[in-house]
Amino acid sequence: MIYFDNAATSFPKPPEVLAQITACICDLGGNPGRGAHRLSLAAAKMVYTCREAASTFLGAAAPEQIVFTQSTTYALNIALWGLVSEGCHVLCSDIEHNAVMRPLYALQVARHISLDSFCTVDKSDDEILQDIMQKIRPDTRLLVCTHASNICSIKLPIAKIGALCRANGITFVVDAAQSAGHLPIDMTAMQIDALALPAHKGLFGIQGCGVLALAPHVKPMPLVQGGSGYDSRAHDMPPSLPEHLEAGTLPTPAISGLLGGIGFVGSLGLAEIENRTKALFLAARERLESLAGFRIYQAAHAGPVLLFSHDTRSATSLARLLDKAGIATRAGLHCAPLAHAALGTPEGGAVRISFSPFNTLKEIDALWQALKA
Amino acid sequence: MYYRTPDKKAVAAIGAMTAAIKAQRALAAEGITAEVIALSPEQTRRGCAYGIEFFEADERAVRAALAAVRIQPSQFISKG
Repeated sequence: MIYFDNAATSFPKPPEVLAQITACICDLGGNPGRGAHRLSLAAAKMVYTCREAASTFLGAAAPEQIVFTQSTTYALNIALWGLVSEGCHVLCSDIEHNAVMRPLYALQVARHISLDSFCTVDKSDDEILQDIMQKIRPDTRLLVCTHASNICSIKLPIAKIGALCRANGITFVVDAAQSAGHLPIDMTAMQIDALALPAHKGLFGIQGCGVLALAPHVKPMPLVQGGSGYDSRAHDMPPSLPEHLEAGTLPTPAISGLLGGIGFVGSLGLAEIENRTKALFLAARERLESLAGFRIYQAAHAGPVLLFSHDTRSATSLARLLDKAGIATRAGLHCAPLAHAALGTPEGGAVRISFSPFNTLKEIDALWQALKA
Repeated sequence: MYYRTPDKKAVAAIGAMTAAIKAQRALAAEGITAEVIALSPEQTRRGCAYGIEFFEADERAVRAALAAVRIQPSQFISKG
């Protein structure tokens, strides 16, 4: 099988990650933060080591600012529901995933927020910033946007947006679902207040673990209440991070996978990962451009995600054809209908191919052969 | 000055497991041996909690090392 669906979840996983998870399941069987027997303590120490690694990797202020969640979606929900106040104004980009849009739509109903989006497609960084500045209002309290699109390789100027938000007293939330493990992130330097990301995509962990990294001055209200392993008599969640936002048992094996994945990405290097995925993008773009009837979206933005459609064949039929040829891709709207509308894809969406450093140019040739047939 | 038995232990009550491990690593970086332990709910106002156990002779150094990483134990308990 040729796997070109790494934007959904990366596959295969590096041996380092598999070894870390196996060791966790075999040797760290206790529940971290629940008791103090040696297996529980060993698990808790591994979890803390992962917080340290994530904190360094993401430029967070301290390990305790790293909150483990079930997924990026869950982390974004904590940030948005925990930080958005009644009746305020919120800004987002026009290429957001439903992990951002659906909480915002729900907040429009539940907390009567008003919502505006800024344009990113075919815009320069300066034009994006100018559009944001024009849309900031006195009651704008939060801006949320993706770092990198999940349907093409557009990247937003996060550091510049962060500076703009800080200057205007706006809380800045970033969805790094597609950028973590692909692009450098330094949340302190980029002035990001809340950063959400998955373990199982560019960081090569497994499903079941996400991260919400918070700046020291940001503390969302908990979305879920429950056991925290301490302060048991208190009726509310304990005040200190990360336990304030980590009700219930942590996904210890998935956290160990994230630890292994951060190590893998660190040893390979983000520059090498970017070089490899860009080379794959450029090769795929060249092959697709040689075929009649194909359209590539945002072809000038080379990166780990390439989106295409065909004049007469639906995206779903193309993905099915590729699957029969042993090539995994994803067709449709990719949980990002606004982004598809902004890019002008057909009603049935488009086909997304997304790369990891494990893909090869030979696999791009196989894609080309299958589409040519 | 008063004499302290070298092997006498004391506990700093911290609360969360994350902070307790952070405390232990901060102390280790200063060359101070400490263990993460569970405190009895009788010893704390808010229920279960974690703390770090160390040689009482190191208390001054422990207080300084924890202050440097902004950890404020709710209490120091001598284990007699």
